[in-house]
Amino acid sequence: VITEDQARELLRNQASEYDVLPVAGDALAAHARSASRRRRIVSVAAAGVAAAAVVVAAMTLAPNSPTAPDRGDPPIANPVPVAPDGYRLVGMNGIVVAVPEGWGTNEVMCGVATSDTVYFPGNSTATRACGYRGPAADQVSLVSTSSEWAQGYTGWRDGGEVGEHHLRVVPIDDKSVGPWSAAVMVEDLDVIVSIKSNVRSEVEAILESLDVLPEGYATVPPPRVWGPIGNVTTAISLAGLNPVVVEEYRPGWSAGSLIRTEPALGSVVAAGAEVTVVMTGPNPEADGWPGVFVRDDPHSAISCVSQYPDKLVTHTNAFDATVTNVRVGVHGRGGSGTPVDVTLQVNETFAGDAAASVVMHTWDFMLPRDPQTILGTRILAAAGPTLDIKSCGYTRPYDEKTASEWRDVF
Amino acid sequence: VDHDADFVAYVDSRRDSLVRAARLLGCMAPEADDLVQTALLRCYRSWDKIRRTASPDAYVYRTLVNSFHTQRKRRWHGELATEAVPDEVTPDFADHSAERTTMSQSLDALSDDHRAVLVLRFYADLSEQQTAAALGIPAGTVKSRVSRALAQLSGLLDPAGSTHDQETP
Repeated sequence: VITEDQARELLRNQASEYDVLPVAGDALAAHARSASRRRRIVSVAAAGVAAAAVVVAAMTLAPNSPTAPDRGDPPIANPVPVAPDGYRLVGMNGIVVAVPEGWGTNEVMCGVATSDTVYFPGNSTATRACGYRGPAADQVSLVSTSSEWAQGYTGWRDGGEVGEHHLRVVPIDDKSVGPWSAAVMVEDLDVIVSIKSNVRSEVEAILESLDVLPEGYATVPPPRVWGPIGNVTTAISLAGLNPVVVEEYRPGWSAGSLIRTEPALGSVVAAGAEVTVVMTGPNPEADGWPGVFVRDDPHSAISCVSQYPDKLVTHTNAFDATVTNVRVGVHGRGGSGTPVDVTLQVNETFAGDAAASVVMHTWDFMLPRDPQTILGTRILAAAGPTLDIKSCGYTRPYDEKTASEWRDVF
Repeated sequence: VDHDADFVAYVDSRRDSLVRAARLLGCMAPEADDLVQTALLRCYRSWDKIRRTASPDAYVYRTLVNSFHTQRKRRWHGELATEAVPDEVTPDFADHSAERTTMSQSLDALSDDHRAVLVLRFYADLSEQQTAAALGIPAGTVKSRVSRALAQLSGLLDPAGSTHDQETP
C-alpha cells in the first residue's frame, strides 16, 4: 500500500503538471473590496425599505435630558471626567459611556458575554476557547466602524449630535421581553458603541451617558490587530500613552498575545499615563529542544541519512519559530510510536513561505518524555517539502550564530 | 499589517497551491481558477478573523471544498468545463508522462470523499483534525478514509502490487 509520504510525492508531482495563470493578490483584493461595497449598498437600501414599512420610534440622544451632560456648553479645559456613583467610564477613540463598576473586560467566549462586560470585538485579548453555551450576560461592545463585526448592523437612523459629532443610532428593540439592544455610531471618530442587556433601563442609561472625552485624557486602546507585541504597544503609543510590557506564561497560548492591560482596555486615563501591557511570554520551565535533534547520538532512535549541514540548503522551508502548542495523537500508535503535531509561531522565515503559524509533524520518541515541556521553546527548523520535523541538526534549539548562518545559506 | 495587505500577501503566496489543489479535487483549469477566486473572495470578508486562527490554510481549504461542492451542485445541469476539445489527440510523449496520466486517472477513479481527504491531508498538508474540520467529518473518519483511499490508490496505480510483498527475488 502506498505510504503517506509516497502519496504526498505523487500528489505534488501531479500538481506540478498543472499550469496556473498568474493573478496578483492586490487585483483580487480590489475585486473583493468592490464586491463588498456593492453588498453594503444593497444592504443599506434594504434597510431603508424596511424602515419605511415599519414605524419605529426613532431614538435620539436628548442633548438636554436631565441625565445627559449639556453638550451645548463651551468646552472646559481638562475637566476631570466623572462617572456616576457605582459606574466607571469606558470608551474608545474619544467616546465614553458609563457602565456599572463591577463589569469586567472581554469576559466573552465566542463573542457571547459570560459575565457582564465591556468587550472589544475583533481586537480583544487572548480569550478562552469556544464552547460556551450558557445564557448571555450584559455587555457594551466598542468597535471600529470599519470592522467586519460592525458590518452586521443595519437600520441606522439619524441620532442627533454629541459635541460636534454627528450620531447615528440603532434604536432599542421595541419588544416586551429582553434582552434589549441598541447601538450608537460616531462615524467621524470611527467608533460604534453597542449595548446589550437583560434590563431595558440599563440600555437606556448607558446610551444617555455617552459623551466625548475632554482633551488631556485618553482611553486605553485595543490593539489594531491580533498579533505581535508591536501592534499593541503601537496602538497605546499612538493614543498618547506610555506602554510598559510585562510577560506572563500561559500554557497553550501563542507567545506575544495580549492577556490584559492595566488599567483595563477602554479605561479613561490622563494623557501620557503609563499602561502596563501583560503579554504571553515563553515558558520559564521549558526544557528546551531535545539534544537528539542536535547530534547524531549512537544511542538515539534516530539515524541520520544526511549529516548537518550537508543538505541544509536543499530544504524548502526554514524558519526561526517558537513552540506554541503540542498535540499528541490519540490514534496511530504503532510499532514506531505516536504521532505528535507541534504548532509553531514563526518569528523569521529563511526559506519558503511559511504562514505566521505552522504545524509540524513528528513522533513522541523524538521529544522529551513529557512533550509539553517544549512549549515556549524557540527553535530553528529546516524542513521540506513536507512539514515533518527532521533530526540530526535540521531542527535545533535557537541560537543567534546558527540563525545568522541560515540567513546567509538561504 | 492591515487587512488588505495581509490578504494580498496570503493570496500571492498561496493561490497557486490552491488552484492546483482544486485541480487535484477534479476541476478543469478554468473551473479551478473560478473556484479559487470564489473561495478567496468569501474569505476576504472575514479575513481579520481568519488570519488570527491557528491555521488560516485550514479555513481557506474548508471554504474551497465547500465552494467546490456548491459549484458541482449548481453545474449538475450546466455545461461541463473541459480543457481540450474532445477530438484533440494528446500524444503520450514519454514514460513519465504516462505515469502522470495514470495518477490523474487514478484520482478520477476515487470517490469524491476519498479524493478530497487525500488532497487535504497530503497536498494541502492539513492535520487530521484540520482535515476533519474542513470536510465536516470526525477525525476518526478522516483516518479511515485516508487508509481506504491509499489502499485503493495503490491498487489503481499498480494493480499487480498487491502480490509484490509475497514474491521472492
